[in-house]
Amino acid sequence: MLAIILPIISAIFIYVFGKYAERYVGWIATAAASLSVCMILSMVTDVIEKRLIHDTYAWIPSINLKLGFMVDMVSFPIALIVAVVSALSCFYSIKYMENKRGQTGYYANLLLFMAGMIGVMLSANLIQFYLFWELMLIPSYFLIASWGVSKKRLTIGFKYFIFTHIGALFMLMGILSIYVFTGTFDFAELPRVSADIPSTSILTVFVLLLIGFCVKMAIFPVHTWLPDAHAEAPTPISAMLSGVMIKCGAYAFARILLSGFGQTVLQTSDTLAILGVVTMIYGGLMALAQTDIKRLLAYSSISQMGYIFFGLGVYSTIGATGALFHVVNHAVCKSLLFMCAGVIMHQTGTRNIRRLGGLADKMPITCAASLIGALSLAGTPPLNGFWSEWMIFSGGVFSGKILITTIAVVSTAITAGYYLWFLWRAFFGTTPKNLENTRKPSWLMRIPIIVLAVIAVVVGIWPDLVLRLLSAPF
Amino acid sequence: MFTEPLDVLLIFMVTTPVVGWMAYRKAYQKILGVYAVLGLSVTAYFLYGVYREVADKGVVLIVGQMPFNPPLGACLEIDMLSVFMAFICTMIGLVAVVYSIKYMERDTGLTEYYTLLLGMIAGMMGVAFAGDFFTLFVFWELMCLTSYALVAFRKQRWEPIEAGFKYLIMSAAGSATILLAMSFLYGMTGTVNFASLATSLNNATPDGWLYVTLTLIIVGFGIKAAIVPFHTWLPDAHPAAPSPISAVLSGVMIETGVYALCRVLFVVFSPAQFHWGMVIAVLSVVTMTVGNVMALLQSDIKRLLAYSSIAQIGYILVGVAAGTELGLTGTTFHIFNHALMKGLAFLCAGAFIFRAKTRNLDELSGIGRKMPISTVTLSIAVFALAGMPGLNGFMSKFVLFTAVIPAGMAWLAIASVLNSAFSVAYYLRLILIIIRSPPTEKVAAAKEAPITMLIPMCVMATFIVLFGVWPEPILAFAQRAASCLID
Repeated sequence: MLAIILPIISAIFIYVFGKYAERYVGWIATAAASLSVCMILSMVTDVIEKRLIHDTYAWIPSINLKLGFMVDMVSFPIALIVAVVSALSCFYSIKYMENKRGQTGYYANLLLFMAGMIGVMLSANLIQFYLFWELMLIPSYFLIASWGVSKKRLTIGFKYFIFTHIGALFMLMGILSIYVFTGTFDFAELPRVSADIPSTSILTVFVLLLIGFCVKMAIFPVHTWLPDAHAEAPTPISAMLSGVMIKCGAYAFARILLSGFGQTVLQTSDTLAILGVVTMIYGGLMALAQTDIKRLLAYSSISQMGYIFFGLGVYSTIGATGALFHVVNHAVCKSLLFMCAGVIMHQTGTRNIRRLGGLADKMPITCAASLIGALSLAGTPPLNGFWSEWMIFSGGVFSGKILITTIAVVSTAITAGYYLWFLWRAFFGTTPKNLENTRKPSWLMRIPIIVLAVIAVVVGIWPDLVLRLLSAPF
Repeated sequence: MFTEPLDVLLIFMVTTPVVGWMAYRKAYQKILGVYAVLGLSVTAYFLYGVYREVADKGVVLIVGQMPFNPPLGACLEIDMLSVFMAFICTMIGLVAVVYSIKYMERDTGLTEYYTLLLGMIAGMMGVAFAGDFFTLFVFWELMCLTSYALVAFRKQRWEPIEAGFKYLIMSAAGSATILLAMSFLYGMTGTVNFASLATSLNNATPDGWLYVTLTLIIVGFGIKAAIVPFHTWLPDAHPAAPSPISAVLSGVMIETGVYALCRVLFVVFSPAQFHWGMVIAVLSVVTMTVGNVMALLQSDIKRLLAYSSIAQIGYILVGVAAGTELGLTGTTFHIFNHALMKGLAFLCAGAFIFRAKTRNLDELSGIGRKMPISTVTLSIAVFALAGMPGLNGFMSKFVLFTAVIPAGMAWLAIASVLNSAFSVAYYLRLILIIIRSPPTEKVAAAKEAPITMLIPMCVMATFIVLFGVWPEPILAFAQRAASCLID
């Protein structure tokens, strides 16, 4: 649909003609991205009225493949938040990346990356899904390898690419085996035909797909690419990677495994829940140990993906709905935090938390926004993160996993711990001498932060705004 | 004499020396390239006529009366698969010739160059059109002889001579093997015509001699197709040849070997009777694994691409091993895609070599910033080779992998997917080296390739993307071509 095609076309346009308007290329890209947001938003009434939008076009009749787009209550909210976060990151880049070389290439890759992610959400069959899944990999690789911050960017980009690509190939093997057993790639038919898969191979197919999703979601023990890649990428891209890209794995889990392989999820749900909790605790403990702002946020993403994985893995309606809700909330809060971190890095020139302090006076808006983002992820009512975490944990209780859920709830204390430590060191306390002259950030960087913070508060007070658009896929 | 496209090619080939003699001054020599472009365009036009005829009638049979009747005269049997292969030859030939106009301008002996190039394309097209073993062999030798000379074309340096000689020895041994197999078949059945061979061997019980013949055929064509362990000439010959020739060699000639193998295997030795599927499956896994592992170790851009060609031949054989119509569709489709991808990759490598005068990857490092268009097209080609979705290589690999599982060879699919994953490492390494900054001294003065080289590259890159998102036209064509082998 247009929401996907538009960023792709404008990406090519920007790459080819961008050099004639180097100064405005960021604005053009932002306009294209915002237009894509509007297009997704225009489908909101259909989704509220629970009409399934399912368009198909002829694509490759020879092997019975159709080009299909599907919008329902699973894909819509996530696609929307992907588009919103990408458009805001694009806007944020105008100031943040203004003095970097290769502007046209940067924005072209950013838009392609965005199109890939929206494509994953709106695909109606497995092959198209895989196609977009890899489409988001290539531009994000170039974004890390060409615009990364340190000398190690090529190595880190390589690690990121290989990790994700091998995960994707496991997934491809799973997709091909689904086709061999059922003869279809269509998502809509998946719940019906998955009974055709013989019970001896269903677990293999399930595990193949799961590996692919887990790599993208950075679930322990296949998470090691994430801290490097997210810390290395330029900050607006970190916001997209951490905020939305890793959610593609969560979406895929919900879309394919929950709706098609419900029984298998149920059988393995203890293992899945334990994996989720281990990821939660591991990510949290590693975050406690970081002194680099972006690495701290990256490990926090791993920990948060553990929450989502846990919510999906316990296989209860409220847990899965909570997990999808948390996908949205984490996208808002984590990209908010990354953007705040970006502001701090941009204004102070350091990313070491130990060298920061007392910035609350210098940048009050950033401080308040970080506070909102961090407290929300730590599950403080009435911010949005509270609602989804609460739903995830009650999902765990509903499916009878009291012990694991208790451990999970206790582990949220870790989240509160590292965020408070970070906030305290960065914004309060004494200001080091070299930071006394720190200037206020530009409005171009403050606007996206404010928008995201407002979303976090509004959704926190009125969670039904998102919840009415969202339902578990079974 | 034969059929129009082939006649046109041969006429242009024979008249190129006349044009070259008239354009005696160095400044006029460009006319030769233009003349070859004209020749191939006319060929393409007539090929379209043949396509219409074949689409109408199914098979076009042309039996030459001159100078002898078959088996010594020419017998052409053109079906959709032949047209498909001829189409690829013409396309890559055209691209290579346009590219050569600028690339070869500093070389002497352009008359010979274009004559040989047209001859090689005519040879490949003749192999595709051949209706009996004898005709196939004659055109096969035309293709081989011209390619020996083209590999060793820059004769003032030692490397091309050595590579060309190695290639000559190995390929001649392959041709001899094919000739031996052909004489066995003639001795057993009294005919070399494919159709009659098929009928006479239809109910034959496979005995020792038939298996010997089958082995000879796999070995003979396998040498040209660079199937491991008969591949050792390729990594030497392809880098030594001028880049447009590498593009034709890697893009079409080795696939012609696969084509001839398929033609003989499927028409003469039916898979149900002779059970060669497993042999091809094993060869294919070995070929792709060796190709991929060796490619990882290369420090020469063209050698890396040459090993990648070997790996791609492994994927192409996957569909042959499956032996189903879907599998062969995958094979023909991948042949087409590989011609585009590898042709483009070699042309881009050629553009770097043209500007930087080195093939060494360490010396080429950082050239990406100097030659952005060539780098983007190379990235497209390389990502397509790695099987990234959205580009054509993914589509054909995907068809191949889905075909092979119902044929009962799931392990082959798994091995190919793992190989695919592994291959990304060296393709990515290639791109990394190209875009790594800052540029080395050697490439600091490089600037973007000239426009006549960029045009073919951009056209091919566009097609790679186009057929990646909309493969239907070629896939349908490949399907009709593949169904010719299964009936």
